[in-house]
Amino acid sequence: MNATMLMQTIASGLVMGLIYMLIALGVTLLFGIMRVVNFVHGELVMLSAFAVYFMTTAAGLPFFVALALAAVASSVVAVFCQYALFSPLQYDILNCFIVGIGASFAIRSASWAIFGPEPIAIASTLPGVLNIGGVFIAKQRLLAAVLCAGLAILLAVFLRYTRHGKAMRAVEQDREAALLMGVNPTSVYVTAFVISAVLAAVGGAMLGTLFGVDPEMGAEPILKSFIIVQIGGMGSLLGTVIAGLFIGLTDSITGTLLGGELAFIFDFSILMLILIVRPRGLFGYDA
Amino acid sequence: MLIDRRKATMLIGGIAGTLVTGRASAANKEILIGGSVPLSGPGAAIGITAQRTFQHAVELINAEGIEVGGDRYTLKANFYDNKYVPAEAVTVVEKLLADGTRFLFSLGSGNSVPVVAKTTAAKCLQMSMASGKSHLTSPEFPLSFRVQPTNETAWAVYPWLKTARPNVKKIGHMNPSDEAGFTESDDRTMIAEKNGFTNIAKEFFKRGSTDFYPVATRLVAANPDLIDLGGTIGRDQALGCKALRELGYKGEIMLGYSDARSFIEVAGASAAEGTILFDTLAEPQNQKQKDLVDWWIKTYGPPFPSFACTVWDAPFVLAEAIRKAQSADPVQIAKVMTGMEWDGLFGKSRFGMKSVYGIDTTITRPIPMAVVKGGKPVQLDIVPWPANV
Amino acid sequence: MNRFALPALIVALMGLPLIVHDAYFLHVMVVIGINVVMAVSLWLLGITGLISFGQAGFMFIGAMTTALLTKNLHWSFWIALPLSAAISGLVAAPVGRLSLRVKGVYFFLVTLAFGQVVVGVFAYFENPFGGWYGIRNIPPPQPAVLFGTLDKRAFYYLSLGLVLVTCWIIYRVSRSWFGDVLWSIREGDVLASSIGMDVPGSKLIAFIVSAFFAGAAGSLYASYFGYISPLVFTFEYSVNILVFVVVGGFASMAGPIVGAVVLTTVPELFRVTGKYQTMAFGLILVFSMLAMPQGIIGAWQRFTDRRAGRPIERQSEG
Repeated sequence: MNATMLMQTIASGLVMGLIYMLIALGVTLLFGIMRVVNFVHGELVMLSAFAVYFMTTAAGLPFFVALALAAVASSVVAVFCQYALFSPLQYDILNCFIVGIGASFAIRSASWAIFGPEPIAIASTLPGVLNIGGVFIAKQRLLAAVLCAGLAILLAVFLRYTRHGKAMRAVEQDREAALLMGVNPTSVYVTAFVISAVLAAVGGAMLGTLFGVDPEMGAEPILKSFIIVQIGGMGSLLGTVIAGLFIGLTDSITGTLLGGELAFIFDFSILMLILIVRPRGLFGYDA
Repeated sequence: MLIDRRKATMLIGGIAGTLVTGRASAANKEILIGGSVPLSGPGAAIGITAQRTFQHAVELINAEGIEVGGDRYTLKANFYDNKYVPAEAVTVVEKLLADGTRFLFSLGSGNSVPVVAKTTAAKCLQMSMASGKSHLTSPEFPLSFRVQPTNETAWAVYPWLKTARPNVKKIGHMNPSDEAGFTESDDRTMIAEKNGFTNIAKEFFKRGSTDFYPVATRLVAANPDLIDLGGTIGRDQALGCKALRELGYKGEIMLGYSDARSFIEVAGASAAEGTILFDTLAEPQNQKQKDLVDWWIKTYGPPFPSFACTVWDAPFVLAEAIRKAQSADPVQIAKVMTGMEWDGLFGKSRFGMKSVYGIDTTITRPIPMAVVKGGKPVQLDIVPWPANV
Repeated sequence: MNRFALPALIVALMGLPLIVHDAYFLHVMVVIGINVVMAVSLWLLGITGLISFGQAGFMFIGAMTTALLTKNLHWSFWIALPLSAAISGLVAAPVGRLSLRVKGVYFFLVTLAFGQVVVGVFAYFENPFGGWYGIRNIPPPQPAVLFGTLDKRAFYYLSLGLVLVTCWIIYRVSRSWFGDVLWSIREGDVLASSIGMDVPGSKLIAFIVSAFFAGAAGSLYASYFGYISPLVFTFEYSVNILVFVVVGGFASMAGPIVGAVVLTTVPELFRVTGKYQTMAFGLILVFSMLAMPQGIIGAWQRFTDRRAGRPIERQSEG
């Protein structure tokens, strides 16, 4: 592997890492705040992608308008899931996991039945490829990377400097104390679901332009999200960001160097290692 | 309503009863065909297409009926979802056999290979659309027929490549890392070599991957004149092609089993430009093909999945063989089908390839070649099947 | 339950193939048997409060061992079966020791990773593990005349036998003094250690035993289906087993059994719906979680409590 190939691999890896990171942020938010492992998150990614696809093709809406509408729709679905599925189970971690799996199977199957089998893709908003000294970066990928990074920063700002954000962090760190301080848990939970839904929508739209739209598209991101969130530390924003980039890079490097199959083993071996050496992840709180 | 031992036994009996009864028994004049196809999960795309096409063909056949002796037979096809998982495929076949089905239509080598020993033992005629070699096609399995030329298309395509793209000398291969992918890779590299090409790269990826950059980077670095995406289907091939182009690959790309329009949409028109599509019908060339396209668009709306063309012949061939054998017995029918010739959707077709597999149970037919020009598939050639294979 | 209900049930199960010859039915029963063994073994671990997603990995190890021993070395299945279980248990020892260092909710992720690593390793090395191709033509148990391709009855009895042995052993374990340790661990690690129970040691033993039986189930799978591949022993399969246990209920061993039986049978009933089968499964899952968070046996317990006029236990968090 020469220098150009290495640069190419790194560039590709960072971009992918950012996209997975965005989706993982949604997962970490929900877990940090209410200890819910939201399996339906992957389907929100998928449904948003379909929504954007149909709105840009059938309804002819411009991409970012479609994206905004999809984000709204995604939030509605997420809050619906919250009240229909997770809340009745009192956010019990195992039960929510199972019900999330059931719901995700059902949604996926329904999508197959409704949307039919043909692979489709959302048209690129920014076609063309940049060539920087032998390293190729598709412009659409760059756009996705910038968007994901931007949203992550926005989220960080929101959590650190706004009232709502601080309330969320308070609940995350110590629920009882937050309640004693007068924080309204319901509004915090709903906000968390909405934010994660919006992140999922953007992630889905990006994935849809880069990799096409199909009912199974949520499966891999959600699995990767779990790995990322675990390595970074459940509930830690910074951890998720770093872990996301790390996973993106690792995937890319092992995939290019060793071939796709070994990369698969590698990911999980690293996860196991980190979990054994430092169970709470890089930046996580103690369980 | 207390659940006690009586109720428990009734419960078991009830479950047992439901599993055992309530299925259509083989009626006198009805021939049951079982369909084992993926209707959910990856592969659902082709599974659903296969089901719809097969059922329509059966409708047309039944309109005339099949004369055997003095009786008029009709076909009945029951499709089950094997989810592209081998254990499910086995369960599906168990159910079908228990239902009295003696004819199986199976899609996907992961689903077809594990059951062929069983169908052979149960004297059930199996028609598979799958990549496969001697573990599916061999004198050991006289009732197993391959109704789709998969890895075999290379026998026709590589000779054509020599004349159509004379500047191509070095070939790179990209295939999924599973049963079908390995078969394709083995066969294609062997056939390419036989035709005087040099194989300089052989890469595999996990089927259903999202990011093809790693595998594409490796291929591009080897710098072949043509990259054969032989065993890839659906989204995988579109994304693979897109990744290759985005990484600056300027050579030829060849693939098949695709729905051309879908491929172009997912890969993007600029990445898809110039891709050679084997066994792909860009435009209907004869009336039969036109009828098929028109029917699909009328029933399901556009776009028309070209995969339907590959499925079309299977039920007709079966009906023809039943007529010729004048029997509903799979063993008799199989004897007739071996080496049988017929007029198929693509022209004169035949079950052959004895020289490769030892038995004439693999379909051979003309292979349509297309190329992507200006964001649309354009017909290039119809390659006849090589005479010596 | 009535004292004679269980023996009557067992007798009924043993007599079933004599009445029902339907090959598909027997096939489903064999599959149910394998699922029950997996579910019960997961349950043993679950009563300590540990949820493992690696059961499919141990099952794969067991299946692979049997495949290699019977196919390549031509050993008898009857030797391969206990060996496979033993090897799974052996592998579980170091894995368990390492995984158990991780607390609570993180444990499930380590086991998930382990399951994937097993798949990855077997998938990568085509020789001798078959790679993604898997291993085909695994010979059935001897005597071959009994375990033929078309006759399912012998396999049915084999599966039934394995189920009975597994259930009996695990039941005894869960009822023994060791079982009491496991239950109390679930209530609280700290409390259990404070009264002198060896918490980590007990968890490890539970982990090993559970892997042992998963390996046995894998061995049966290999010689029944004759074909194993990494596509079978996936994360999804581990999730399926967990679902059997959760939907069935944790409170007693009847839970995983009921869960496995119901959730294997019901999708089969829905098979005729074709492409809606998976959707039906998902909806049933959602419904049963919402309506019966304590599992089927939990709901049944509440029902019988109500009927008998006993006070109903409040449905608290699991």
